[in-house]
Amino acid sequence: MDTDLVTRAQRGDKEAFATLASARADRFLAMSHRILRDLALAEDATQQALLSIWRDLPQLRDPARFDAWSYRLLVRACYAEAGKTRRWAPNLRLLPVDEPAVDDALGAVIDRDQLDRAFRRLSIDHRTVVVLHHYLDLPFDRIADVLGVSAGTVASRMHYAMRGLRASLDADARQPAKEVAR
Amino acid sequence: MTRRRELEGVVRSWLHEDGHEDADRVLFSVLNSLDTTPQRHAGWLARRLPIMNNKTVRYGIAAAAVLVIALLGMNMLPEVNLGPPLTPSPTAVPSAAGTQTPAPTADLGLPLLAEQPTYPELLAANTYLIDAPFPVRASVTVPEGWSMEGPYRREAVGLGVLTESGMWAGWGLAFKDIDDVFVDPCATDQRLRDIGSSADELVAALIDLPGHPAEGPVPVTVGGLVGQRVDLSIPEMSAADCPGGHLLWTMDGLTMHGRPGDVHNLIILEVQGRRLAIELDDYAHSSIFEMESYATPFDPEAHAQDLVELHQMLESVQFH
Repeated sequence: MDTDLVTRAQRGDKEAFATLASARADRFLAMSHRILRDLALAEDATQQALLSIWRDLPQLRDPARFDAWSYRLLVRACYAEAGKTRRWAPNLRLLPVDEPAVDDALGAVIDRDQLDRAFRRLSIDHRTVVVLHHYLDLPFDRIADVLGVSAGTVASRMHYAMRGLRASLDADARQPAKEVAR
Repeated sequence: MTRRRELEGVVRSWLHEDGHEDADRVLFSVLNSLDTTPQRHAGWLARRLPIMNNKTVRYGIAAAAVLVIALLGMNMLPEVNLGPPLTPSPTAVPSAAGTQTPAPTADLGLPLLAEQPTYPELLAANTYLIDAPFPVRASVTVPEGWSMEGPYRREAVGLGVLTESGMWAGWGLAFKDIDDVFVDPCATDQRLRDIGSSADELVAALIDLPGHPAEGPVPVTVGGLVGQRVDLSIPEMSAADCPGGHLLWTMDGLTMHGRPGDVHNLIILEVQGRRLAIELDDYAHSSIFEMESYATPFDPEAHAQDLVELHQMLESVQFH
């Protein structure tokens, strides 16, 4: 990571910021899309995060921490978007389907739709740690740094996330229902 | 452990095989906004000045200013009328700085909320008409500093406040059209209870939700109509104990999930034969959303002024 670019952007250099933002925008969108499971919300979160980074960059004391700090702002933006839907705008549509229940051989039977349904049922906290760990490949201590929580809390969230996924997949297998993003 | 690792492998593969996202459009919009988005430099300066770093002093000054404004505003308000619906005044309240006064509609002389900008834009202070596609026609007077959660939808219309940094605070009120309530929020069978079209049936279904305590119903009056207030709490439960994920109700086929620790305060009415739910965050303290999303500490007075305005908004509601 080029700390010189960060320092220049902190001083209001728009070209430096554009370079930083261009190098991260696709990844930010991919990450927020996976957390929010909705491309429109993910675009809003990415836009909000990039603008927050520009606006608050002068307050970042250590340019070397830019990546962790920027991920934190992105996660906050994702929470904000998810909160909008959580509070007032539920985003899941229930449609009955006649699919057969899946058996217990995990890898062979879980399809993308099942995973998507199960993942959507997780809380935003749990989805975030799963994406940071399994998509961005961040270790728990770095996730803790991004989220501003302890590594133990990250481990706990991951544990419950995987339990929640398992429970949802099992439930899906017993009683199929289809939730489709609006 | 093996099954967990197997599941983690499946999840990892699934996350990586999703489609490639192109953020060019977002990036273009962001870079075009830089000229109108000033950077904040005040943080470091404030930290260098010990007296300015005293949160209590700063919040105290802000709170005092807000209180003075609130008292002045309250003294200038007409007495609240909770009687029969009144013909709404077509006179617009002066608009907020930086926002445009919307054009009035022809029939009631009120601007349509559906045509107003949504978050992160602020609404101009004014009396707005809630109308189609939302199924109940009502007007509400929105004060300065409030925003509409967008887009305007058929199933719910939300009005909220922003945090000091301009982010969605997750605090406000919403008009909702609830269709069905889940039999058990934690059950994975996702069975829905038919609640017909009456307010009583919705109230009964909310009170009956197992494992999710509800207070009420308490009679309240909104826009001259008597409704019932129910406060529904979402308990802290592990994912294993509530694998359904706190499924509450559906609106236009969409599912509303509850958030552990949250409380849904609902006023349920019948407006010209149509059921309406108004959800309120009528408490002064920080919302769970703010604490979780922005890691803000619990502040018992975070929304003290917003609460005054929320009550004024509720009292301004008229049905047409």
